[in-house]
Amino acid sequence: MRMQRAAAAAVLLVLLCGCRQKVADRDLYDMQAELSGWLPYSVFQWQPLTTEVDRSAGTMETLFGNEAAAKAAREGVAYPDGAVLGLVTWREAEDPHWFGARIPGRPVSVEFVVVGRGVDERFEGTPWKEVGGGSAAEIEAMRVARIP
Amino acid sequence: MARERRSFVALALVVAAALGMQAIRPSLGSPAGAQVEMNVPPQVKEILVRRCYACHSDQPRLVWWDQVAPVYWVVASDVQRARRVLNFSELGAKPLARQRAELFESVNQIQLGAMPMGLYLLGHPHSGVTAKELATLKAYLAPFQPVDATSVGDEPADESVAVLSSPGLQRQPAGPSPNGVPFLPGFADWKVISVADRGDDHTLRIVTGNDIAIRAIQARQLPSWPEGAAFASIAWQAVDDGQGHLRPGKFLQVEFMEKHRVQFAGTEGWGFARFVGDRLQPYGKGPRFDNECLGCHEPVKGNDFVFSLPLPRGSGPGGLRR
Repeated sequence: MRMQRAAAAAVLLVLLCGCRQKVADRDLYDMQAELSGWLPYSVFQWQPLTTEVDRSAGTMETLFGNEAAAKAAREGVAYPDGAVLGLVTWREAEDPHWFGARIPGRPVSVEFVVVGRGVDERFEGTPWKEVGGGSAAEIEAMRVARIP
Repeated sequence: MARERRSFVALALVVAAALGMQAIRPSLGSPAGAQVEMNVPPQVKEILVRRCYACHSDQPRLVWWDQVAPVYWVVASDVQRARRVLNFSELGAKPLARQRAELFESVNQIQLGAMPMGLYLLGHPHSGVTAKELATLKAYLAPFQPVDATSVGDEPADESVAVLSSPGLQRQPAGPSPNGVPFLPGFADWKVISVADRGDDHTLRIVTGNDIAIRAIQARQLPSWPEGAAFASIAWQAVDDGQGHLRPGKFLQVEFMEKHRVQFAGTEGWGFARFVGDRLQPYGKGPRFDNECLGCHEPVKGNDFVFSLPLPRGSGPGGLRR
């Protein structure tokens, strides 16, 4: 009898713990904006340099730079040869935490430009597929957001 | 007989005390400021009056059970607090941008279930904002309406040219935050947490996080952010080129959240600070201005008071990276 009660209590305890559910990842992270799959650079390890929005296309894009690119941006000088820029474009999504805000939704493309080397690789789709680049000049000309 | 008399005396004492309590009535009568209401369409005004004015106005609407002490004491202190935060009878005197910001915050507090407060709903059933009413408020605010020609910003001349800071030169605010929360000069070199297109206040934002915050995202350890985690939400004015292409213009402000459970125990373990404009002028009056920050962040308590949903990191197959 005692054993049964202990077992019942144990089952209840497990059930109760089960009810205190872990918060779902989608309520904690911007899951749909994840850049999963192989890309030549870990662009989120770089510094964000600016962010722009195209309202008519419903997309937002953030420019990242590797150390050399970020340093040049900080100093207000031209990117040196070999600096790498990465432009990530997402579809815009409504922010579930703030009416009036839009945040990154599904990724549209990622484009990498190696300054002065003529390297311009653009990736689209799931899984990533390399397509022709071609926006190197525009990406290099993007103005960095100013911080005092 | 003696026992009956004693209980009669006790009862009489209780009644007398209850009646006596009614004499102690904090006043809700006198408005603090000029009575200027916002200029909003009647269908919006009607919702605000019906759902918010009971507490957030100079004409508090109390039902009979609100009037009886000690309930009245709770109600009175709640109404006074509600008015300090947001008073629709006086909001019209504030600048238009501020009025709009207050309405957006109201809608968000409603949407996230923080308003009306749970205790209020318990005492006043069916007083919550309906889905239809919320939709009316949202349609009125319309954050992503195409901009008209007048609000299309000029191309900022040298404004957004790439001058983040001179190397070796420490970025410094004009003064300390009134609550003592430190300015973290490295924020521009931190990694990205998220980005946002804010239609409510026409800003573009990049949220960055220090290494502790970034590691917590990599380790998937949210919602609880670790000790020492810090964020910076950097805001620029969104400049529209007239074709719906928005770029960051003038730098507006940087806001910090820094997690130190003991040091910032009064604000749920988070230190809040804001530095405004090119001079990085500290925001807020008095050491407890941050109650305003916490009040706005309260609805995202389940996310450890953090609004931003971080971009996921490091869970993908990774592969070889240059």
